[in-house]
Amino acid sequence: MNAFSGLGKLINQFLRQQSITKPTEIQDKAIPTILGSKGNVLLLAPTGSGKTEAALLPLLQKLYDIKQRRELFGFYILYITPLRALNRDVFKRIKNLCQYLDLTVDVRHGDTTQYARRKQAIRPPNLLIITPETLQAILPAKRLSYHLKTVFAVVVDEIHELADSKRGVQLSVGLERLEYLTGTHVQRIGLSATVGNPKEVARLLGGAESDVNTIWAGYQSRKMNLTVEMPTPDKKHKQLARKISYPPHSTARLLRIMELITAYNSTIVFTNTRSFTEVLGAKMALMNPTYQFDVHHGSLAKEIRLSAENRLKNGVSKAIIATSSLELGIDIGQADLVIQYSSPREVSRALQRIGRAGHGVGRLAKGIVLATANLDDIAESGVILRRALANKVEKTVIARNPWDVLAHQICGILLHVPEMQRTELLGLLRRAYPFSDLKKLDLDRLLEFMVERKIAEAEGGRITRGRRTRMFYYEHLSTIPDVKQVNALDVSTQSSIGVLDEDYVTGSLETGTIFVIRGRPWQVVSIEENEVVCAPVTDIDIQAPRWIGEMIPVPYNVAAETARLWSLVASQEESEARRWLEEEYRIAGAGQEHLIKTVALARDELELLPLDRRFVIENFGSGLVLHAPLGTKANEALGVIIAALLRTRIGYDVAVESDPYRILLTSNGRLLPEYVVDILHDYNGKQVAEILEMTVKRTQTFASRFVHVGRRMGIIRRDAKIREIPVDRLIRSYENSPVFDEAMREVLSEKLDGNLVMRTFDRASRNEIEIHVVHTKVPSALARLIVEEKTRFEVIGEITDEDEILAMIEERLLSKKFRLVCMANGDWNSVRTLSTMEDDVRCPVCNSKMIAALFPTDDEFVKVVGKKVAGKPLSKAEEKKYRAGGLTATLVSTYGKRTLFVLAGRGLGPTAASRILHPGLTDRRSLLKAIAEAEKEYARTRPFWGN
Amino acid sequence: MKTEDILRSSFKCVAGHFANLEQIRRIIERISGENGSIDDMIRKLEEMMQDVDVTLKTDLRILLNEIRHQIRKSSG
Repeated sequence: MNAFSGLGKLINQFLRQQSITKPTEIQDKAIPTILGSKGNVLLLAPTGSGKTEAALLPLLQKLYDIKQRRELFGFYILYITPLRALNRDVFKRIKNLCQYLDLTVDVRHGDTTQYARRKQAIRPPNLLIITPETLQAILPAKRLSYHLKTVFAVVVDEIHELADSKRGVQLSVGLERLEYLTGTHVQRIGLSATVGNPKEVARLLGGAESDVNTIWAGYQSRKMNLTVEMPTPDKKHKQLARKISYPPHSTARLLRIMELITAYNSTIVFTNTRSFTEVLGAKMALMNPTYQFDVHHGSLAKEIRLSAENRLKNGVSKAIIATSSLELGIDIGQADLVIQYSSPREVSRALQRIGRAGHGVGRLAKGIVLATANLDDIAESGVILRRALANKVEKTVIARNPWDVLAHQICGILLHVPEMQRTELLGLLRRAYPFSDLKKLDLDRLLEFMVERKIAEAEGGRITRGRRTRMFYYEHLSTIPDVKQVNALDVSTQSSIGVLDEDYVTGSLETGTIFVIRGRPWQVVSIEENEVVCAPVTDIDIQAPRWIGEMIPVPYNVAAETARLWSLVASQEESEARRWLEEEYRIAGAGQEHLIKTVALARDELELLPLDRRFVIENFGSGLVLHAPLGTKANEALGVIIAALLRTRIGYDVAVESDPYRILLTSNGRLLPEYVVDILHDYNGKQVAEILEMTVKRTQTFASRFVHVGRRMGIIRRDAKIREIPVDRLIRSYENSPVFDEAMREVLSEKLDGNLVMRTFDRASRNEIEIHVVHTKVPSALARLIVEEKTRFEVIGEITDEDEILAMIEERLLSKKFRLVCMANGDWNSVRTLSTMEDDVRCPVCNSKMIAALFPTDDEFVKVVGKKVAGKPLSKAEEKKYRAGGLTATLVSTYGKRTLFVLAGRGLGPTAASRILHPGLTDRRSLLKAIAEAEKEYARTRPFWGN
Repeated sequence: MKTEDILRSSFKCVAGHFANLEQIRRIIERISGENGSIDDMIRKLEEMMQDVDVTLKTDLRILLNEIRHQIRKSSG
């Protein structure tokens, strides 16, 4: 006897045919529960443990039983997933069983053809697989809303993915509207592998007042083999690094990845950004691997993504380099290894990603985190793996009373019924958990806004549809931030190579820019209204596209534990620390070495290491670093507040940058650590909340959020281009409106952690946080992680990467040859390699410093100088040549060898050199950085230079 | 409940979901004037479904479903 025996004969026959005889742990628990009751259930089990079947087998049995009693006509079960790709997979998984039971199943989402939609309206499938947005689309539809009346159960798959966004809030009201439409209870079943706060997610699923039966299973028997590795470069890597223009540490990681891909059957390499996925893909392609691989991220065209998934699944390719686009349960076959490039930053993300390896019952999930040579990255990776093994997943933050979703859902309700009383509307909305504490006054204020926009009408207590209700509803079905995307088109084949965010195109691209997509470099040929026309290029100096705001935030718990790990390592005997790091945090080898060394150095420099209850303020001369391991969002907010208060105190602007562990403050004014101590002691949470709000509304982040919310609430046309929107004026005129409040709520809760910062100020003002001030001559090992990060060239990498890149540039420049001609007398003419020259460049014959630096092939110049010295007239061309040479000579006489360095840069002539060089530019590093910048500028503007 | 009442109340309940509202209204007018039993009406509607286009067929099916639902409700 097992859970399957409660299912009917036919289902059991089918399962036996598929050689499925034993239910998984979650199936064993869930099937009898769902079969035996109509109550709401939340199923929590690891990735690949058969949750879909745990929910659908009993529901299909119930449906089959109904079919024995009467003819079926309508939708009976809705299966909701966050992704269209998941819809397709669930359909494939379940269609044979449905066919066997003579039940119908179909998928409906944005890609469904008109023909298929019409067919569904005429012959509704019994089980309909949809996205949350499709539910919104069909709820008020004339014919389909009739078919919805027969729904008795809804399954919400990957509920955690929806819960922390407005999609989840919208769905929760959508489910209440569905019940309103059916007039009866609809059983709701949520599925997830990673939920940190199941009680709250259960309420989102079941409604504010509902009891939800939460069933956990399978976490104990989950098998995971997890390690943190830090590849380090050897001589071979360094040589290769030069060849492929890639830093040695990055090259070492690249080769390790390739080695692992070769050793395993099927590998998924996860990165944290789309841009880095492209860089890694491009560099791997340069290595001509013996296997095939693809890149996969949300900015690639659907066909390309599908092809990549299928190629891995069918064994054509051995690897896929992906971002979160492959995290959810998309069926990509049996990957046996997951490589995470750099820390996954969140436990839930680590679990989702590593769970993609050995996806399936009883299989081992093998995951390797390849950390960069960076203390934060190594320690954080270890902490995340420890927390993943202990199933300590982050809590999902469910938005409360988001006004944009509310306005939209009120329109949806008004499409079900022509009119509704305010009190009834309030009651219906409060049934959804995110609006359970919605106040009547707030609803009235929103309705007033809606009436002004003609999306509702109000007469006393009665609310009715407005002229624009239907149009507004259907134009705003999706709550996914409406970042416009622009098609990137290959000019040679006229086919799409992917899509780019509008923000990125307007901010970073212009004709001539080289960027990477699909692992290949492309040059922008032209930027049209809705597309960027590109041509493939064969450049190995690759610049990846930069998507703003895509970095995954590190949560407070992870940051705080990472800092605790540093302190514990510093307080232990080295042998003990090594054992502990390996056992508890899976950190061994070079990573362990680097961590122990850096922590010891930092402790010596800072005297005390930072903790979440002990902040260290480091004054390194040209700035302050506040070491405060509070996580990404809290430090963003803390930085904004402290900078604003410092600005008012010293009367100078204060620049602020933060990461999950520290905040860097710099200014032209005098910044004293005591000022920061005073701020932390003198202000309480309530006071800083006001300061934060005042500061936030002047930021670009707020303006960007305001545009998104404005689009969703109908004050900005959805097709309006960012550059055409008068954002500042709109913000001023909508201050104190629901649009403004919603944008502010989004920034304060999603981008910043206002609450944690308020609590931190409260604790600091009560002296519950120890503050240690230290003065260092140069930034400490911990401060360097942010000071040098600021100027880091690559989107990834360790802090040595920039040095490595600069070293490569320097090596290239030093190998350049110049023809040097003395302009004083024309008595010296020699071709010399830059590396062989002294800093002071002089004529060995007459000791003059007026030395012209020319191309080695330019052997005519010396004759021109000779003519000039002899007082002979020069032709126009010769005069021009002489003047240009003269300019280089003037620069050489002032700046010596530094001039030659600059002139050795790609596309840099004497005019560019005169712009770059100045007396203060004396250190090698700044000079090389200036040259690199100028080279980039040249690459961008090259098409306009003609011949 | 009289046959005509069942027909009219069913129509009212699901009218919002019809694609061919006027046509269904005319059908209801016609058959409710024929003084048959509710089973006769159902049979007639089922017969009509044979030769009409799919959209009207779905409308009739929705109507029939609702009629059966009303019967079940009034008898239960």
